[in-house]
Amino acid sequence: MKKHLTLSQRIHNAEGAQAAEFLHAKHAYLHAKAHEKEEYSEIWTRSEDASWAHSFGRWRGWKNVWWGHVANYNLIYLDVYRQMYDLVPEVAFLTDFRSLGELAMHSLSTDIIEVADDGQSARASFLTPGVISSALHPEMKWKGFVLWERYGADFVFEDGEWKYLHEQVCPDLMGPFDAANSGMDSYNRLVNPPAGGPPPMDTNAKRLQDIGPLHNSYTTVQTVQNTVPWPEPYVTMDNNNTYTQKL
Amino acid sequence: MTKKLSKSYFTEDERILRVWDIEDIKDLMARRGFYIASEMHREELNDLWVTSPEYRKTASLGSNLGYYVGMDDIANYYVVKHTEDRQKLLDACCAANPAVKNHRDNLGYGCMTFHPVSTALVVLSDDGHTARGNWYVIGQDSTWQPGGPASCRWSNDKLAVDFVKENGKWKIWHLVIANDIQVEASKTLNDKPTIAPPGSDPAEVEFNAGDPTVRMLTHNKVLNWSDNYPTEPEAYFHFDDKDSYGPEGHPKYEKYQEK
Amino acid sequence: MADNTRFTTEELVGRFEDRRDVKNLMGKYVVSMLLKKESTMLKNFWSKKSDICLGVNEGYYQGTEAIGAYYKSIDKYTIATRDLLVKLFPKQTAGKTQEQLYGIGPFEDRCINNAVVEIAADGKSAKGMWASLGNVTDVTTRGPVSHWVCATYAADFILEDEKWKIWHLLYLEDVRSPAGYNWSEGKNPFAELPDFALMAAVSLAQPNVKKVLRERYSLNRPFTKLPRIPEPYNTFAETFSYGI
Repeated sequence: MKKHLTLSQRIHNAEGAQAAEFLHAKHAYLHAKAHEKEEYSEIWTRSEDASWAHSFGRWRGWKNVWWGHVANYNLIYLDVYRQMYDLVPEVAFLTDFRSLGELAMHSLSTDIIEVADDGQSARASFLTPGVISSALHPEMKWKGFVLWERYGADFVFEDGEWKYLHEQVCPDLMGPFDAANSGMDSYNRLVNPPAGGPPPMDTNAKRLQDIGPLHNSYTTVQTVQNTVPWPEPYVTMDNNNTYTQKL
Repeated sequence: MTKKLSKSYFTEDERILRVWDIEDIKDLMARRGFYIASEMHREELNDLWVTSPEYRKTASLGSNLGYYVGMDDIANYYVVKHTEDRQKLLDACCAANPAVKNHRDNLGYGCMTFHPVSTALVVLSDDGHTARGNWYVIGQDSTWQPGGPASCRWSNDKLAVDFVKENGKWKIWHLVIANDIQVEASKTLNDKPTIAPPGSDPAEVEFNAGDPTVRMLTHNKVLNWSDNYPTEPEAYFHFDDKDSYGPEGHPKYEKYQEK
Repeated sequence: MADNTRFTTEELVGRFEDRRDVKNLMGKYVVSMLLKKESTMLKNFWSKKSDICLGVNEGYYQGTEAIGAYYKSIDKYTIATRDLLVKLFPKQTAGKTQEQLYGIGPFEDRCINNAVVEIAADGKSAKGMWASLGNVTDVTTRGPVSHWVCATYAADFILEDEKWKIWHLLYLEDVRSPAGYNWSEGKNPFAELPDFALMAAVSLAQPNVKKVLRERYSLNRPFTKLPRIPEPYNTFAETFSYGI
């Protein structure tokens, strides 16, 4: 119990803990349908301190985060729209076809959440078992894969509202659903490496401020990584209590 | 349109009670997850769903293909039909294996249902009387089959729920289970045709085998989430049927009625 | 759910903080397995009470010594796995210390969700139940094999020195089956690999109270309800226990 805080502070912080879960869930649902514009304009801070990171690197500053997620977002849905226009009749009449690209559902579990004593920030880590899928391919077959990741997120209390500040995504496992065995598949790749070596990392390198890799996916010989440590109780956000250290 | 509220709208006492309302709702849905796993469909309706006549009449259970409306229709499908199906399965099981007793305690023999909820997104109305929420389920359904192996499949659903407070307790009022994926264990999703042959989706077959009160396509999973149903709840003042997760809240409900 | 109107505002705030702390504790418990920190788990997460117990499908680890032995056996397995993989893959593991390499091979991603948590009205204990969907890679005599693991965690917690600790924990699996295969068949489809024969000598400590608490799912498993779900309660004496 946080008896060193006033009752008002504790109520505010209780709301902050709930807000951290709410905002991350909101992200999950908006991302699942590729509503990135809504996400990054409505629930993110527009501060220069904002950041978004993946294994390939990090964007710093809301303008760069916006670039990565909205301006430069994977435009596959346009291709899908054109390809499927005649193949699946319902596609033609959609007014918003962003979701055609895929259903990217990153469910949230294993929440560990702390709110700063000063009530100005909150931090959360999650494990996220996910499935990425779509029925819309010119071969007229579904495609889908599992994608299990870890999240570390910071939130800030700004103008009377809680907003996203930092997000770091750490993919661990990926494979066709349900035909993969990540342990055995990884071992087999080690023993019989594919010709040409592993595929180059998609750095999406333009405008990244921190170049990756920031996290490696599981392999048989990958050392233990604690890329997004769970948050501990803290007083105020600083470089010891954040998922993006200030430079 | 998001209706944003100033924190000064509520007193501190109200604010912490509202925090707890949301936590209680999360617990309620988790309880439902455990009830399902324990085949407690009857108990789920009795304990977790609305009980007053006004809300029982308008309660609904929806899926991709429509809704059961009113607790009687819901119970006929969710309890009576489900129990009948389990009994038929047990009959077949006992015929194949006489050592298995044909007794109600054995309903669900060789079966397992795992539908845990995650990714809770809950919004409480200003008036504190209703709430709306979304959850996501990565689930497994396993059903006994003669000769084995069991039919084992993954089932991923988005849940959308309206809640109402009855006598100080939160209850489920409208529930939509919008299925996104069905995949058989050990099969790759990559083998499935985009347009499923009629009768090939087990969840849809099962839902339709009851007698849905409202038959309509609510969610077309072929389009991913392009149909944006069920959509996420936004902040709101009072409950309105037009925004509900009951049939009246579906954007195409008026078209369905015209038919 | 408890009747919230019986508590003062301050009590409600405290109960929310307790609830958050209990959920954080369980989150840290499962993430510690992902981080291969089993050697720290008894000290960091468990109560000092003498009647702590960990229940698994095959029985209970009753008492501090038995639970300690359980975690020690995992540590031994982790070390054996590391040493074997270093021998098998010298190029990929070169240049790293034993400590850095501790934990290579296995991968225990045991996600927990679907939480029901009840804080006792007296604030001294709590109960919680979670569902767990896991992808767990074990290094076995067949090599590294990933399993889908569906399980239930159910726990009693106790407040000690103002920190929540695990008192009794049930971890009951329904599914533990190689990923990519039908989980009702109970088969491991992968062949034994001579390179991994050494793993036969490594095993988990067994429960010191042997009792089948739950059978894993199979085609011929009689229907089995989950453990009892926590209900609101006043003091621990008035409620049921997840312990022995």
